[in-house]
Amino acid sequence: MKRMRHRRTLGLLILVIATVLYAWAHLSLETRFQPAARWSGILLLVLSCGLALFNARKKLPFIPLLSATTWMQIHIYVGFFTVVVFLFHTGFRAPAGGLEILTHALFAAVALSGVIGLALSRFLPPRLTAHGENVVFERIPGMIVSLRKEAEQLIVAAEAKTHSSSIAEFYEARLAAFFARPRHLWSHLVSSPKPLNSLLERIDALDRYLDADERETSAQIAGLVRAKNNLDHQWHLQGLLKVWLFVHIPLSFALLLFAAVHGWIAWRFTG
Amino acid sequence: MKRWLQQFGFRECSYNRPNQDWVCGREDGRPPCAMGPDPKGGCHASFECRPYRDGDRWVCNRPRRGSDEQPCEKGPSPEGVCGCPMPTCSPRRSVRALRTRIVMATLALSLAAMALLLTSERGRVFMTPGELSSAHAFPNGTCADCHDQGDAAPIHWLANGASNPHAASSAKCLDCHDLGPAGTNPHSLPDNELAEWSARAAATPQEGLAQPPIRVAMSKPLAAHSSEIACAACHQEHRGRNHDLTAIANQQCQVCHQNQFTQFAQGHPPFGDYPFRERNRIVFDHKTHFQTHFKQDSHKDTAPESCLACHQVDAKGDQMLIKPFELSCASCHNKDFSGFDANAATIPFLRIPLMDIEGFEDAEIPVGEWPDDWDSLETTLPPFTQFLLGDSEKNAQAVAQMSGKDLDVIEEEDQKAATDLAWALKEMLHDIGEKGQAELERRLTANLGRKLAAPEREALKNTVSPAMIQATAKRWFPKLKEEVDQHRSGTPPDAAFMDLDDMEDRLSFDPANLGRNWTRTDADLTLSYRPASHADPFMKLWLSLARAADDGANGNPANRLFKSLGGASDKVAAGRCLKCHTQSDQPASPLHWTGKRPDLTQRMATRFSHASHFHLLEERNCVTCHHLNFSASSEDYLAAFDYYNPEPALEPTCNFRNINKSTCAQCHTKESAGDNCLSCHNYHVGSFGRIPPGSGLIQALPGVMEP
Repeated sequence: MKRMRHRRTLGLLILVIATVLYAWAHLSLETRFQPAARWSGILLLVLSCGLALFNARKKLPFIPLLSATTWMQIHIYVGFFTVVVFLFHTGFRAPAGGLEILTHALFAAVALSGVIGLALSRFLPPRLTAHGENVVFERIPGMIVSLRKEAEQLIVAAEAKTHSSSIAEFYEARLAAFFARPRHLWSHLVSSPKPLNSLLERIDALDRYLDADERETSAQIAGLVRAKNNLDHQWHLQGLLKVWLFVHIPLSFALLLFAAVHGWIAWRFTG
Repeated sequence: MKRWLQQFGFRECSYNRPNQDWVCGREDGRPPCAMGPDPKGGCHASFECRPYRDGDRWVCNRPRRGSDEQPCEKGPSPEGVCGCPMPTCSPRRSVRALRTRIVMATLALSLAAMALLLTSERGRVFMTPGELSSAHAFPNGTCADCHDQGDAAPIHWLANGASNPHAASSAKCLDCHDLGPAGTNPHSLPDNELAEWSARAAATPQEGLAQPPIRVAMSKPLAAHSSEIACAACHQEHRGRNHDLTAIANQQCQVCHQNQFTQFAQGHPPFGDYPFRERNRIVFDHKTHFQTHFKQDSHKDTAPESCLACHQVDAKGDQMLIKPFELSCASCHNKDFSGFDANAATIPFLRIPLMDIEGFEDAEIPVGEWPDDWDSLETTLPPFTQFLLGDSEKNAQAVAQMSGKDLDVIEEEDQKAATDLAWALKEMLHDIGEKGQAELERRLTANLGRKLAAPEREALKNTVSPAMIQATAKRWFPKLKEEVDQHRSGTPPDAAFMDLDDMEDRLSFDPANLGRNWTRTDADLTLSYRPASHADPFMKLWLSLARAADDGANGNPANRLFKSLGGASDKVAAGRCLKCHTQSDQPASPLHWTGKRPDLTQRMATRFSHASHFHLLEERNCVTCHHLNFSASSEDYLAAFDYYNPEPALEPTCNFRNINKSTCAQCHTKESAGDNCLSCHNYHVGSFGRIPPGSGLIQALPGVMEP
C-alpha cells in the first residue's frame, strides 16, 4: 500500500511537472509566433501512438520490455498528459468543423472511457475481494451450470425421499430462472443485497411447510443460492472491468485514424 | 465449513485458454476439455484419453481431475480405443477475440467513412475546420480563394501535402491584401525601415517600471519568429463568424520590442513629439489668435467659442480636421480676398518692356517694330513673362542675362541677349496666338521638366485664355505674324520705332476689363490678373507650377515667380496664399491647399479615435489633452514656414505642447479603459494602396473629403 502511494505521488509529481513545462513551452511558442498548434498536434499524435502501444505490449507479453504494471502506470499518466496537450492544442475552444468535431468527440470518448476504466480498476477489485470467493471470469458460466445441476439433484433426491413436491415446485417457480444465468446486474453494480435477501426470505418462508428432511434440503439450496449470488457478483463486476475496453480500444484506433487525417490536412493548409 | 467453488490444484483446475480466439463451448457444467478448440474454432473433442498398452492389456490413460477421480469404469476396448467418447461442442469466441473483432469493425467503418469523405464533394465541407469570419465569408467564396487546390476533392489535399503550404498561404492572403513588397515582414516594413525603427526604439528611454511581462520573460529561451511572419501566425481563420481576426496578446507584441513593460502606465515609452510629427499644412498661430485677435472688439462677435467651431472629426472618427475656409476662417478673413479691404494689386502676366530701340537701330540689329519713347512703359519683364520665356536654353540664357537690368539702356555686351529676348517675346506672343493652349503647355513642360497633369491642364484651360493673349498681341504688334515669319526665315525686319503717337488711334489708355479677372492696360502694354477670392484657381495653379519648377536657385524665373506670388519680395501678393498654405515634400503637389485629410492608403503606427473620446468632452474639453504652448514665441512658430530657405524647413511645427502620456494613462489601465497595444497601434504600417470603394470605410464627409 505504501509502495503504491509512493508510486502514485511520484506519478502525479511527474505529471504536474510535465504539465507545467508543456504549458510554458506552448505559451512561449504562441508568444513568439511559432506554430504552437502544429507542434502540439505532432506531440499529440506521438503520444497517442505511444498510448496505443500499450495494447500491442499486452499482445506480446514475451517481449522483455518493462512489466505490464509499469506499462499501465505509464499509460495512465501519459494519458492524463495527453489530455493536457489536447486542451492546449484546441485552445480550450469547442470545435467547429465536421472533422474537428468528430476527432474532438473521439478524443473525449477515449479519454473519458479511460478515466472510467481507471476508476473501475481502482474501485471494483476491492469490492470483488470483499464480496466472497474470487473466481476466474471464464469459469463462471460452468460454475453456474454446476450449481444449477447440484440444486436440481438435491431437489430430485429430496422428492424421492419425502414424496413431497413442495421444494420442487418452489424451485420451478422461484429459483429456476435465478440459476439459469447471471442475474440482477444493477443490484450487483450498486452492491444491493435486496434480490438475494428476497430469495432467502422466500426460502425461509417455505420452511414452515416442510418437514425436517426437506428443511435440510432447503438449507442446502439456500447455500447454493448464496454461492450463485456471489458468482453473479463476480460475473457482473469482472464483466464491467472488461467491457469498458470495448469502448476504449476500438475508439482509440478510430481516433488515431481521424487524428492522422486531421493532422495531415492541418499541415497541408495552415500557414 | 466454507465451500470453495474454484479449485486451483493442478488436477482440479480446468484449462480455459481465455487468451485464445476460441474457447470451449461446453454448457453442461463440466470443465472445458483438455484439448480445446483449434485456431479456426473447430472442436477437437474425440475421446477422454488415449489408452496405452501394458503387456497384452490396454490401460486407461484419462487424466485425473479430482482427487477421487479414478480411471473410467468402462476402460479401453480390446482394440485400445477409449471407452469414454467426449461430447463435442460449438466453441465460442473469447472475450478478447470479440474485442479484436469490434476493433477491426470500427477501424473498417472509420476507413470507409474516411474514404467516402476524402473522395466526395461533401467531404470537403466536412473537412472544413469551422466557419470563416464575417470578413472573409463571401457569398460565392470557395476554398481555392485562399488555399491551393482548395476546390479539389480532399484526397488531392493529402496527395499534395508535401508542398510548402505556409508561403503559399500567405501569398494568397497578399493577393487581396496589398501590404507592399515587404508584406510578411514584421509590421510590413522594408528591412532598412525596420532597422531605422529599431535604432530609434533603442534610443528611446522607458518610463516607469521597465520590466517584461512574465509570459515574455519566460519565452526568452525560445527563438523568436523568423524574419518573415506568415499571415496565419496572427490571423486565425475558421473560428466562427464573430471571431476577431486581429486579436493578439500584448505579450506577443512585446516579444520583438526592445521596450518591454507590463502596463501602459508603467514602462511604455513617452510619447515624445506625438502627435505633432508633421508640420502643419495650414499655418495658424493659435497663440496669437487666442491671446490677441479673438479678444479684440472687432472680432469678438466672430471669434469661435470652441475648438469644434473650426475643427470636425473625419468620417472614421479618428482625425480632427480643419473645417473648410468658409466655415472656419471666412468670418474674419474673407475680407482679405474680396470687398474693399482686399488688396487691389494686380499681377502682371505679360508685359512689353521699354527697350533701347535706338541702340538696336544704331547697331543695325533687326528687332522689327518696338515701342519707343513711352514713359509709361516698364523697363523690366515681370516674373510671369520671364517664366514663360524659359522654354529653351537660348531664351533662358537671355532672360537670365537681362534679368534685373534696365532694358532701356542696353550695354554693348548685352545687345545679343537683348535681341534674343525681344524676339523670344514676340515669338511667344505669336506662338500662343497661333497654337493656343498647346503652346502654353509646351512652355510649362519645358520649365517643369515634366508634362502637365490632367488637373493642371484643366486649370490652365480655365484660367488663361490663348485667344485673349492673341488679341492682345495683335493689338500691340500689328505686324507680329509677318515679323516672326521673316525672323524665322532668316531675314528679320530692321528695328523700327513704334511711337506712342502712332499708336494712339488704336490704343486705349484706360485699363480694359477682359473678364475673368483679367485686365489689359495699353498704357504700359501689360496684361494683368487680379485674384478676387479665396482659393483662386489661377493662383493655386501658378503657385504650384512655380514651386514645382523652382530648383531653389535664387533668382531663377520660377523662384522669382514663386516669390512674387508668395509676396516675399514685394507687395503684389494679391492672394496672400502663402500666408496660410504651406509647402509639402511631395513634388507632384508642392503646396498644401487643404488641411490634413485622412489618407485611407496610409496606415500609421499610432492611431487615435477622437470620436471615441467625445463622450468625455462634457467634463473634459479638448484642452485636457491639447495644451497651448504659451511660452513659445509666435515668431518661432511662423519662422518654421520659411519658404525661401534653400533647404525648406519641414520640421514638425505646432504651437501646442506634445501630448503627455500620463493624460491617457489616467483612463487607459487594464481595469478601466484597457491598455491593449492594438487600442492605439496598427500592426501593419505603410502605404497599402487605396481600399476598394464599397468597403464601407470610404464615406464622403460633406465639405471635408476631397472630391
